[in-house]
Amino acid sequence: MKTRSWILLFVLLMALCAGVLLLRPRPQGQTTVCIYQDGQLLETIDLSQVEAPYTIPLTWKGSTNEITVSPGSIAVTWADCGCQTCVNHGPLQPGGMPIICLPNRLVIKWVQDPVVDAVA
Amino acid sequence: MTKTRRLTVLALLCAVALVMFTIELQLPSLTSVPGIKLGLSNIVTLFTMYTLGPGSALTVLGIRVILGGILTGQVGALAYSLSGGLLAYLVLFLLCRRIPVKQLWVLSVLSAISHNVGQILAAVAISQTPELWWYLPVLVISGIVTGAFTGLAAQFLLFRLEKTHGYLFSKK
Repeated sequence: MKTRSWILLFVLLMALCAGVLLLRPRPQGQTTVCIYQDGQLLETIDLSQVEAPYTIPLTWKGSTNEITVSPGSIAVTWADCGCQTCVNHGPLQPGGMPIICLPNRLVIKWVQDPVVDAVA
Repeated sequence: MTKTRRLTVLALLCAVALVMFTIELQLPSLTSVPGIKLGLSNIVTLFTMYTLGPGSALTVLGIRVILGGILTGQVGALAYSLSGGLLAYLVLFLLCRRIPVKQLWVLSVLSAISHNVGQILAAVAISQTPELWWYLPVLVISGIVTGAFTGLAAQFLLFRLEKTHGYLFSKK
């Protein structure tokens, strides 16, 4: 295959991926988040009910993540993992990707609002 | 190349890969998406594949992943690195005879995409979070960009060394 064909193929693949990202469903209005560690649900928090900021220190196999919960917002604000990806992720965005700390197997993600579930 | 010389070159390549891996970890993250990085140490893996052969490339990759994880305190991330690394190596191994050195960057891109797919597979399986598949398009795009960069770097290195140290090549 010629170099020009490879370049075209990769450009098309990038365009396809960009399209998938743009068309990704982004459910809005969710207020409930779940915190999982090593596949286990640790906590479910309705961010609309949070009145004052607080932190949750989570320790797993000697490694620690510190989660800060504020009214309408949740973020990993400190971690002792080497990559710091979870800290750099910043607050969980509405309809956004989960916050994940792969070394400490921590996942924070939006879940369907239980009230909406009950109505449905 | 004599056995001793080969062993010495291989040990040097492992050391270079480890140093590049460690230095890259000190650089700030390019994005907040897990798994996106330049992968500078892959230059060494590509170089080894085309100079010393697939067995040596696997050795460099294995030593870099395991020792890199231990030395940088990221033993917890070994599963992700290994799954990505092994899938990337498999693609390298299967395609290195079909893709010439002058298109090494193509092989590097395919390998980088496979690496990211392997990592996301491990991440979804371990964290049991299917939502992580949405990171795949980002990781494919980053794999194309970073793979082209490291591939071109390895390609230039090979052509440069061919002029001065042509004996390093086991094949072209």
